[in-house]
Amino acid sequence: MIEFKGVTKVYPNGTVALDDVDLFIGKGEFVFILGHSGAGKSTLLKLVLREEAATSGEIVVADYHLNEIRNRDIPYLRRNLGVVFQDFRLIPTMTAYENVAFAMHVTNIPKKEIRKRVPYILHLVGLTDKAKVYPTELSGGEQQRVALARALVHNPPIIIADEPTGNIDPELSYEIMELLTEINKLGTTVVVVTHEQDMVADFHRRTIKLEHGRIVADTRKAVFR
Amino acid sequence: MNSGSFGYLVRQGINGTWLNRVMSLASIGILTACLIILGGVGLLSVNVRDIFIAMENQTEVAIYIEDDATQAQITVLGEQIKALDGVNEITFISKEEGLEEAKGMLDGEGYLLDGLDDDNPIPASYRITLTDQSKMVEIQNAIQKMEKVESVVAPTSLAETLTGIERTLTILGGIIIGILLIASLVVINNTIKLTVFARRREINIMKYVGATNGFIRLPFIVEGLTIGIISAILAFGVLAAVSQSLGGMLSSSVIPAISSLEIISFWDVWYWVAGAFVVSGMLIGTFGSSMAMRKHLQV
Ligand SMILES: Nc1ncnc2c1ncn2[C@@H]1O[C@H](COP(=O)(O)OP(=O)(O)OP(=O)(O)O)[C@@H](O)[C@H]1O
Ligand SMILES: [Mg+2]
Repeated sequence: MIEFKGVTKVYPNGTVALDDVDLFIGKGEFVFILGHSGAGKSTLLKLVLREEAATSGEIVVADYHLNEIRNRDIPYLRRNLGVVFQDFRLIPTMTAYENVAFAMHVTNIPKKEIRKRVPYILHLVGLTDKAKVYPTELSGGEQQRVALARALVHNPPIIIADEPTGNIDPELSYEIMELLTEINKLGTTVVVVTHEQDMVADFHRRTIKLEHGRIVADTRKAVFR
Repeated sequence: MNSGSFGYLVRQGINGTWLNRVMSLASIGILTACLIILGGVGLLSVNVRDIFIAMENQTEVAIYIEDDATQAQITVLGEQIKALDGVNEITFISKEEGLEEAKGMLDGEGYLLDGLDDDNPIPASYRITLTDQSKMVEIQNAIQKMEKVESVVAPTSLAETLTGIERTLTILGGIIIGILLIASLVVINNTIKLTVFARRREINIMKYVGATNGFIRLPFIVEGLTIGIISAILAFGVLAAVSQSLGGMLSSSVIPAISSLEIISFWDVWYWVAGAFVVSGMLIGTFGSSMAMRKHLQV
């Protein structure tokens, strides 16, 4: 699903954000990416989304070879990736329902299908009764669930979450994490970036640890060894 | 693209125009002004050109022929003149016709020339009109050198003045239109940039959920188009009203030179004006918004 071979990312200002990273995340896995601020976690996700291009090395995501991808194929790569951010990124002038439907409208999905799919996804994240509510009237956890619903709308094989619980109360964080686990059980590959050690410890999942742009630990390798 | 999402994006674009109405109004205002002047300069130059062509067609060069020229020499001279580049029509005026003409010019006092019928002092002549007034001096010089030509009378200073005015008007009109076009582009570009800024969240999310650039761009193109089309309609209305009242003023003028001018009325060419307005309004709108979007689509 996601493969990095000798990937290095140097930003134009000279910062080396990732340094010779090798990584393989298979179909259906649930992976934590752990690391201190500035370790290169978000950079890794940006490379997967092809928001940034690698300076050197090879990246394959959902069968797209990102080194050779044409600009006009990038939107189609991204339809395979559901993204969730720490700051939710909901549109304040749209209700929960509209926020989710928006992602379908702009990717050319027929109205009929949107009307069927959005209620189903909102039900999946437990927000059926908040469909007509605006983001400002929702709690952080609820807002993140709307964002998650939006990420799930294309039924993507991969979900990527950059510190999804960073702005949420600890109890609600667990709810979001549980939800991600449920989604993973349905067969979706889930990659969660975090620096919350406790969370990682509680969930017993494969954990990749980044430090100064290098992978310093990967529990999967430890398990297999 | 299915019709549902197309409609959705078009609505978004029209909403954008409204969301941003102060700037949209500013854009519409300046683009309307630009189009009105564009149309005004266009109509004016068409009219001026028309008047000039009429005047030029009336300006003749007269070639007076020496009295001792034989019929054959006169014919050869006519052929030579006709062969010159830039000569339009040529007519021969015999000595007798010349005298009649001169009598006519003297109005009631033509009798003064009555005694001259047997000793006619008026030379025979060729009268030519030109296809290109700027060649008048050249043609005059060429004819002057021909056999049996007594003198060539050409209104060269009038021709020079007319060509000069025409050239100045063309250059001036071009500069004014150029400046206005650039101004409109800048204003529309900034208007759309404001909408882009107001919608940066939507654009960001559109990119992450895999909307194509065409989809992301469409609402903004629609916004530019809306501005362009509204401006075109307004400019058309204003120009129609102005030429209506101006036309009335001209034809009722007490100065015969003005009231008899053959004005190409707005209503004779209104479909050209409308077409030009809609096309240039749409082009400027689309181009302005594409410029504004360029930076935001790079990710
Ligand atoms: N666009 C950029 N231009 C230049 N340097 C950048 C850019 N983005 C990130 N960096 C630098 O690259 C390094 C890795 O950044 P990154 O955002 O990947 O870290 P992170 O692990 O996500 O940190 P955090 O936990 O704070 O989000 C940092 O030193 C950062 O300053
Ligand atoms: Mg980060």
